Amino acid sequence: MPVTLVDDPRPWRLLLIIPLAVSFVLFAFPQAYFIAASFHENLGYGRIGEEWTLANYVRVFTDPLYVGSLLRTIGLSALSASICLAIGFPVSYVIARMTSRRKATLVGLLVAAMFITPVVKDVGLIILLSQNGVVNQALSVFSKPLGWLGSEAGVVVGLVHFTLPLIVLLLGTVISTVPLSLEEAAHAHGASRARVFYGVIIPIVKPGMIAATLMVFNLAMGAFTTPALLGGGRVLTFPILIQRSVILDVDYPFAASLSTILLVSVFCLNVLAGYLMSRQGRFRRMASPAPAAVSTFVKKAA
Amino acid sequence: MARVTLENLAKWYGGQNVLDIVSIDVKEGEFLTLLGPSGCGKTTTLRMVAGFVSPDTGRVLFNGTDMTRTPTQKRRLGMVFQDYALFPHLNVADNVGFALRAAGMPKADISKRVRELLALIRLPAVGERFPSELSGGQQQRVAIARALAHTPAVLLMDEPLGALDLKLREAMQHELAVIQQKLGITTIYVTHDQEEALSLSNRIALMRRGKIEQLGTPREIYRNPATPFAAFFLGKINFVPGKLQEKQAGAYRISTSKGMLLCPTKDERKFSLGDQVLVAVRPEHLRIAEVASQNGSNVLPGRVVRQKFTGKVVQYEVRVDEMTSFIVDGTMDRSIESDAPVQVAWDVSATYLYPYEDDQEIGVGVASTEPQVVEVTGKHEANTLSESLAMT
Repeated sequence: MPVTLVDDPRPWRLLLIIPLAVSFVLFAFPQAYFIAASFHENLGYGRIGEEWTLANYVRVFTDPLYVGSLLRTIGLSALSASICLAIGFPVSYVIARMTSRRKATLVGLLVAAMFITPVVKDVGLIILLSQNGVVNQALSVFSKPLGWLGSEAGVVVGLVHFTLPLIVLLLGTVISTVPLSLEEAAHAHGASRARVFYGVIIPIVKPGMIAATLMVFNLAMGAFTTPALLGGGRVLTFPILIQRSVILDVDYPFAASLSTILLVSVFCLNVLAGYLMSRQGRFRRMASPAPAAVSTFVKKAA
Repeated sequence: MARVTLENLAKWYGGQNVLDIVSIDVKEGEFLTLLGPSGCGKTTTLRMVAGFVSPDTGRVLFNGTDMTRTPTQKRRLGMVFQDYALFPHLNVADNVGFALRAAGMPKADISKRVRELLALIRLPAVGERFPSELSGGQQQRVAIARALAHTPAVLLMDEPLGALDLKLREAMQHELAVIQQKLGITTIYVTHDQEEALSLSNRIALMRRGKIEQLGTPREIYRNPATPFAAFFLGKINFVPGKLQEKQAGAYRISTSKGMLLCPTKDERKFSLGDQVLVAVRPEHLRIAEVASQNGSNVLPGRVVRQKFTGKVVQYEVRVDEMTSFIVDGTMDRSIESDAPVQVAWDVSATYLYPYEDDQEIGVGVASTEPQVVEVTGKHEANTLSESLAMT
């Protein structure tokens, strides 16, 4: 008779088969399908040819519209991720170091803000940023009205607005892994406020900080609603071009090749960042914001 | 090295007075311990010296210079934390040299000084390692080296041995004492561990509820506790409530529920006839006797209700009356049966006397009967139980 182990994990692993099957059907299969579609010819009216071809990719990389759009998307996403980091870090630091009951309220508001659909957020921004909106009225002392809507600046504002709650939550988890006593030890041994920040906090949270910024960057790379509404059709980011070739041109293989390029470039940029990070030397007690960590941060606050 | 003067420090948090007029003068090179239960204000006091907390009133002076408004980083401190607080992204050498780099010392001098300190803490070979690669004891030694590297004016330690296990803690106590004596650095040490305080300190400031209960050398406080709490917190103590009946030559006569006790008169405290008082005596001064009365001794009759073997001594719990039990330190070579009637005797000179005050925290007052109610072992106790229940 085989010995039954009380701690045998194998029966429980069987439960994983269901989520595995679901993700395969909903994620891996369609993904594989559109990647395959990108290597075929468009026959018009949504039909896809039989022949294998690289023509779609040649078209993307020889047309300045698409190359320019890819670079613009990367640029705008990087810019908004950097702005998010700069604005988000101090906010998350303050929240992470809070001990009062107000912390729970603030984290709750952040989570709520994160789940508001970008459409709603962008409508608000459109009102604020319009020609005679509040922002232009406030700036009227210094300059004539600025055309926020339909400009790259407007899109960046929208992307920052869209991703800021997330980066604050992510950074909050990372910062709360740094014990306050480390800061106190640094102060006690002669470090100024700035030295504590750049010499202690930043080096310790750096891996987590980069990971959080990358997540925000990835969200911005794939964002459609915000550039569509705030760009007003004049800021052509990659997701907007994908949508156009699907809806306006009904060119599925070409849309698929654009999607594949977006997917691969985001993937490559993340791998590159990870590689640069790992070259930074030995990191101890690595602080990185896993989704589970976010939920414990939220729980702790509550 | 500096003389540290704490002048009338007080602090309120949300209407609560966590520190209530604390004044201590720490001499140059002295090892002073702030001792007390949690919430007594010892850590708040230390953090005021460190500059992490601003006092609401009072001043902190180093060598007579007011430092109350000086930021932490300009106070030239060394500090050791309970959780070590070593920088995880720096190796041991960089951790130890942290204060030197912050002060802008040349690199060559830093590495020389770091080598000296690693030799001092007897860990010469760990400079290249990271804190997470060291054991708890080693990490704390590195933390001590970091706190000493720049020869601080004051060394502050916040329960530095609290996270270590017993054997390691004892070894580290010894090491700390050796290092502190060798360097002669003014040290303020926070702990709730009375043994640590007794063995390390030049002086102890025993704190309770934001106030200093007693300030003195370990011997002074142990031999001559100023308050019932001081007697209770350092070492062990037995209390008997009573009433002052008579003043004789050099002694008070106090009536208790089970007989008269004598207590030497001391100059510092005056009692008047009829005062409610608290008689206190340490377990190590008690003996269990068969003979009823002896000259120069206080004697109370009682019954052994429990004995606890602790290795070095056997602790007998002797019930004197429903309200009062005595802990008596005995030896193993004499066996006393449980429930046997005995006499507890001690020298009059070993008796302390305090004004009576209800204080459940130290087992004086109503709550003191509670542990005896819980453990019911025989008929005798069953009676006590019903009596106690009737009382409540």
